Amino acid sequence: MADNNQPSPPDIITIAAGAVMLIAGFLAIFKIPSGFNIQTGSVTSEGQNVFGDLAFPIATFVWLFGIVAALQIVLTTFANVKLPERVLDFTWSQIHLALAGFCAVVMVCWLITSDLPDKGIGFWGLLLGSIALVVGAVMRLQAAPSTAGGPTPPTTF
Amino acid sequence: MNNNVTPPQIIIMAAGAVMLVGSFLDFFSGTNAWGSGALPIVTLAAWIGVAMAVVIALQAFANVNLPERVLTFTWTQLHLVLSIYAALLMIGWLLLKVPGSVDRGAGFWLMFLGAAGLVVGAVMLRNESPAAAGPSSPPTSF
Repeated sequence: MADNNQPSPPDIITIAAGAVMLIAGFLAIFKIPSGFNIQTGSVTSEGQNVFGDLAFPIATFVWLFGIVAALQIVLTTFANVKLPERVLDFTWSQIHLALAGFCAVVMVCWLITSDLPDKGIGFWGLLLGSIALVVGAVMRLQAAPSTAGGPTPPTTF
Repeated sequence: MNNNVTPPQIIIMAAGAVMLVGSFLDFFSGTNAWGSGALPIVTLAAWIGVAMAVVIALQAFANVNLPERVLTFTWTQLHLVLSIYAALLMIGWLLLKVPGSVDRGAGFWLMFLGAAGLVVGAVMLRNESPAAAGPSSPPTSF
């Protein structure tokens, strides 16, 4: 273990969000009506996870981005893996915000889209995880203003 | 008025316009991106394209002074991120398994083309921006 193996609050939030999203991905995102139970008189439904017909691949992208964000934190914090400081001009704080932004925007859009099948527990897990990813990413960005990078100095908030 | 509109700016504005037009045409058989069950999850890609085009138009034609950075992202970075969002969404709709009776319409293909255009424009914009030279290089004067 290295000296920097103490995760910060944003790190913990991101890891927790990624873990929630990892589990949620295997639970039902949407519940598709599959039949009618004569004995109980109720409509039966079949749950579809992130690999189901209705959710793949957009929900799968959300799921993957959550895992990637958490994995990056785990690798750099606990496994002491040295990743490049920047990827295509982007700092890791910016990448986290970009990944979180995609997840949150897509999940909120799905939430407010009408005429979709019933949402399952997996959907709510992904939504919650996405919001937590945004919180973690914004906290990380605020904690490290010097990582803004680029040719111009960061502005003061 | 700034008349020096660069090719990437033209591509992004054209792509945004194509996506807006495409959003009103059939996305899947019988429904466009604004229809029930599609708004806003399908419309999102078009909104991104239009937003990018509007920002470029404001900067190029209206001389609007926008903040240099938004949440630490430069506008070049932001265009790249947003174009990737739009492209991922459209790739998602392309790979989505639809029932046999449902076809993808002209609106879908226009929006798909527009999203590809956004990525091309954003990458070109990044390549011609001084920041693409690397973080250690000094800023160039304009």
